[in-house]
Amino acid sequence: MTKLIYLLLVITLAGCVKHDVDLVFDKLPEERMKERNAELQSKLLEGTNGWKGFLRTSAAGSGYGFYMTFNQDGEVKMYADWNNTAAVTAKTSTYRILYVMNTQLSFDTYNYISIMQDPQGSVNGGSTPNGLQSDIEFEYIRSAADTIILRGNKYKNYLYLIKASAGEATQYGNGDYLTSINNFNTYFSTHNNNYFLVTSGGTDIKVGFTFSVAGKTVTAQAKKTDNSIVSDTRGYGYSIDGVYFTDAIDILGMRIIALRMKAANTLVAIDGNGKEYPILQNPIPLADFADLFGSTKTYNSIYCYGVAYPSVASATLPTGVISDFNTEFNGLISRFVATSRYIDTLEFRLSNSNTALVRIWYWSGSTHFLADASFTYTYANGTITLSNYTPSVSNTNWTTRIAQVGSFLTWLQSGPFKADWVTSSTPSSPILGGLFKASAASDFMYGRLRKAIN
Amino acid sequence: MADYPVDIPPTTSALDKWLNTNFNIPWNINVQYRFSLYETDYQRNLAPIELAKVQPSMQAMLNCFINPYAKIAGETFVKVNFPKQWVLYGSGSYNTDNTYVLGSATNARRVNLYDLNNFSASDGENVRRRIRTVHHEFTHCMNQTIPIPPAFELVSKGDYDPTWAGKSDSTVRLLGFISPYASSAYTEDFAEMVSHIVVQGPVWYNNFVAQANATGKARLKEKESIIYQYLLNYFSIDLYKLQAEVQSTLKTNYGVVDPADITTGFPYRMASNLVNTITVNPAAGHYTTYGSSASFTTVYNNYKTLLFSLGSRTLDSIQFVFSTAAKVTFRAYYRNTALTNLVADYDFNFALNPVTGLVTFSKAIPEGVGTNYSNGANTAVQPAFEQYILPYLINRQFVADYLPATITSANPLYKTFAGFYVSGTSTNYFYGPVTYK
Repeated sequence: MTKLIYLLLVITLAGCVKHDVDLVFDKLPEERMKERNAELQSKLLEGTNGWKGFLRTSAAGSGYGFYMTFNQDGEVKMYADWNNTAAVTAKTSTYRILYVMNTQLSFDTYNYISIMQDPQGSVNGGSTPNGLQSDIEFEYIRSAADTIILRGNKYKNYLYLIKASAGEATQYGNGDYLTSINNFNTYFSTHNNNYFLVTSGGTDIKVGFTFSVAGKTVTAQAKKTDNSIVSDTRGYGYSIDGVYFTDAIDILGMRIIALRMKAANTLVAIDGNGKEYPILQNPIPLADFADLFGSTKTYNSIYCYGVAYPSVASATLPTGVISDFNTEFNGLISRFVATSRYIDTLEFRLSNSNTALVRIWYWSGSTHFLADASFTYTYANGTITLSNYTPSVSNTNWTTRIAQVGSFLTWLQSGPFKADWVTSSTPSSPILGGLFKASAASDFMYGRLRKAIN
Repeated sequence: MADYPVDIPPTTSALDKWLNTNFNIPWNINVQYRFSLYETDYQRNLAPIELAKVQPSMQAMLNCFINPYAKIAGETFVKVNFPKQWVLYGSGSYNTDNTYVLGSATNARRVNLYDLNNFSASDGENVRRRIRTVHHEFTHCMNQTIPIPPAFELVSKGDYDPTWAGKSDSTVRLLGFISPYASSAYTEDFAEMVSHIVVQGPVWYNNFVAQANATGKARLKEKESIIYQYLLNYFSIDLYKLQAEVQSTLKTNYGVVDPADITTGFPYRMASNLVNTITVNPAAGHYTTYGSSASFTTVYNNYKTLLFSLGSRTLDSIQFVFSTAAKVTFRAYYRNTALTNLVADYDFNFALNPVTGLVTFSKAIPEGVGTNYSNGANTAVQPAFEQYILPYLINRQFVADYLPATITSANPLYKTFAGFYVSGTSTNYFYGPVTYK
């Protein structure tokens, strides 16, 4: 019995000897965990000028930009493009690195990055209880000399950290982040129909892109030589030196990672290889007018408007356009003014697949009146042909005011018309559409475009 | 163990030192404010707490929870029974119906506190709400140590319903519940009772009970008694001493104010049939001193003038005589040409909210029987009443209160005058000396 106990003791003790199995990897698991944690920690601390961060959120694909500086006491100082205050006010919170299936960076007390993760819609505009569907715990994927790539534990969006320079660190500290954000927003509110040229299959193709500043997304779109449309939408975040996409825009085999302001009003797109593509502006939208204008399309109404009552200012045509119609329009306005009536809206609308409406809203005293007429129309090959003129659709006002409508009716009946974009010499002009007389291309009715609900 | 990476590295920050000094060392309580997805319900998104909110919210826990228990139940009780792990979050823990949880407790060892980013030490009611959560959760912890006495569950048995979110206080109090959430399960009922009695305070609690019907009152009181015995017998804690301690610190440190005691309010006394009469005699001196309502004076004078022109009767004063909790008699005192004093009576019913004082009068039909009523029905008397007094009273919603507003609670005459003002129009009112039953 005693021998048996000794035997058991020997076996048990033998089981306690370390490393009696071959290591599949070259080190013990706890050693490898510590090493990898240390790698991320030293990488974060290596960015003494801080890191520019970009993160996508899952709720609507919107992106956000950050600037973070980590210290060895587990504190992180952050700026963000969330709002004007966050862009100029540093906020400090804690972070820690721990090992949960992989090395993980955890922003474990509240900071700007937690705003997107907050479940309360009242905080971030998302929907309670998931907010914008974002993360504050990130798995460490890999790093390069000036980049750390992390991925959210729950929503699996990437957080890219790019090393900032000493100069950029100073700029962030000086509050230049907000200036940079404002410069970009100003650029996009004053430059329409932005595009860059890509050579694909031997042809130059214009890749247009539109920013949604409120939604923090950008959409790139191009029409290929076979007339098919390709498009890609990504979130973006602001940085001191440009706009970074939370994932590269992937279009026509190109991977665009950022936009950069080279000088005032000179913007370039940058691809994954650092090649720059200047951003240009098309005088008219890149899409064909016929693709966007129609009773069921994006726009169905060409209109112009004046100032709402109680002003007696009449509707005005958009500025910067020279057309023979200008005279016709002014005549119409004056005939109404001569009877103390003030037109505030003039509209041509494709109401349904075969009925077009011409609607004139006007003030007489403090009462708002509508005078309208309808036409039957055909719309083929970009040409609108009007027929079957029917006065006074909604009421009898068109007939009552027929003397004031006067030669405008003759103008409407002088088609057919070619429907197309109209260019304006005013730089910040909204996009315009018009009806060009087939008989005289210099004579076209024009206005802003909208989708009018019948 | 030193070979293994640690999940939460110790820091030397002032906050960690403070937590160590005030929680770890004296109470062996670990306050975990640094977010970890592992600690949460993976289905739910929870935001971490703001660093700046940790100390003030935990200070409130010390002031209003740990210290009162330590004082009343003893330090050993706290060391033995208090949960050892406190996990803090910035946002609420949202349910699928967008209601959210403010706190939860597990195994008498752990407490989760949520929504602390909205904590505000300068807002007493905000603090009170959170302290109530902690007391609620700790009651669960005690229940997890010593189960709730079976008698408790029987008090409102059959009226528990897990879908509580849409219910109101006024509905559930009739079934003997202190809050809508208390009606969800008897365990929650128990915790809600303790936390409301201790944290909302005696005045609030009595107000709540006072508004219940007989069944609700009896049930609430029975539950209160079971809870008192439970705490005293199993934990040697006097519920009311604990209540006093928590109330004291809430008032001293966070400036909370007790609600007005509705049982001393005029509407409550009226609804309890404790009011006898209110007399309005415009000739009385107090109207000169404390003012009167021009709108009402016009009505009164019109009434007086018409009464005189119809039969030369001179109005001296009017009086409201409360016969029951729902019936009042409008009484006019007047003289005829022979200078005989006469009285005319007209009955009204009224519907009254004993808390807000909102009251509506309606004419009681049929009219009463007797000399006063036949005086009132006299053809030279009744038209004046019907033209001025009747429409004035029945066409408006009034608020019963101690009036006039110029006699404040600091005035010795406060509560000796009462009356009614038109809801939303505080300049249209009448009042007079009040007598009680």
